[in-house]
Amino acid sequence: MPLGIPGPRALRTQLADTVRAIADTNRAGQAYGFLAITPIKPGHAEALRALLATIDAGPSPFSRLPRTHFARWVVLTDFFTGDAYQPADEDHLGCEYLIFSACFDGDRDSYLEDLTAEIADELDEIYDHCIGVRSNDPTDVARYLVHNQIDCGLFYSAYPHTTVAEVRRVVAQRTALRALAVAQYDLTPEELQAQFVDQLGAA
Amino acid sequence: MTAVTTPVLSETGTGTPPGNVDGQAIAITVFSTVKRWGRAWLPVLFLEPKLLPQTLGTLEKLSFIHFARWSMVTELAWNGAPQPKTRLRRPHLYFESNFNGGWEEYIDAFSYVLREGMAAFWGSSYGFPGAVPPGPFKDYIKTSDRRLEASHFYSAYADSTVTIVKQALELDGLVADLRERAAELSPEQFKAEFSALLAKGQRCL
Repeated sequence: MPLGIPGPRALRTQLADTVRAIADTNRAGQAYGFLAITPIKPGHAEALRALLATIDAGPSPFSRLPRTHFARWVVLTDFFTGDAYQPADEDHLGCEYLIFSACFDGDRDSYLEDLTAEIADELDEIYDHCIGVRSNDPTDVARYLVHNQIDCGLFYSAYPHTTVAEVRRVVAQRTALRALAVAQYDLTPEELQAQFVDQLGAA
Repeated sequence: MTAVTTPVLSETGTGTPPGNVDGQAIAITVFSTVKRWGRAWLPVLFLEPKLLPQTLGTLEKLSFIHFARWSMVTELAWNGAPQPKTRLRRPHLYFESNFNGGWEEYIDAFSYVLREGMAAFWGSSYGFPGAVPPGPFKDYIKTSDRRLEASHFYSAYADSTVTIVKQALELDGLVADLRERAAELSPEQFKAEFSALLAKGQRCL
């Protein structure tokens, strides 16, 4: 559109995004930002860190969840404390907590269902170190995470309408196009057309 | 619980603890304590970009942020004993970012490009030194971030920067257009159209 004025379709998308974002602060376009902070059993923080280090050393369990853009587990020892600017009666947590945060495609409940189905073993081991989850019941982890969810105030995505699958597809397509741009000088027009159809012919 | 000493963590070449890195992607996790007036101020601030999405344009200028979130933590759910019942006297601001590039450059850019934004988001937090100059602000963020190294951090496309993703999305429209017509074109016509595509999409390649 000239002068950067959004067209009717862009305005409709923007309006729909605004309504969705106000209705659910955890959404940005089709993406969902989930955060849960769960209490760790007394004396279990080091064992949990060791377990997460083991998980971190191998292929990420989140790679088995194709809707996950980003995810993290962080052990939280306490709030920001001990600084000269902090109030004298600053808050303390009282026990260690585990932060779980994920940015993913689609709605929360179906994602948590996928999570508890696909990485049941890891969740069972991890949340066995936390207070309040039924042990040996990975499906209970979904209920537990929702119970401990912290809503977003503001959730930002640089490409809110693009799924993980779409990101991977367009990035692979860009790589193929770059390669073909270099190779074209050694190809006849027939070969170039054939390679384009072969490598970039499927959406 | 008494105040905890900040652990000294090793850093990667990007100035980031290794746990916060996956390929090109870097995680920041920060908590800050919010003054009581922030409890009223932050919800208003969070609402503004939703009503006026163009205000997020400033964040988009920082073309290395994939996803970011701010949350105001006012309470923690009770899960039964032995979890201590914690009543928070003040809100706590949780901030996380998933970005690419160096930590130092990230905070520099945040400070200069989002100067007003930083003051708006962290102005109600104890100890916020102002966004500019970035040195004290870096120390402020670093003090909290270094305490919160991720035990596990995952990116689905760890080698793709935000710029690459955005360029790839822009190229997708051009490729789709030629893909639709490719079968109907003669090889010579196709070669000319392919060259035109590369010329149009040059800055995205």
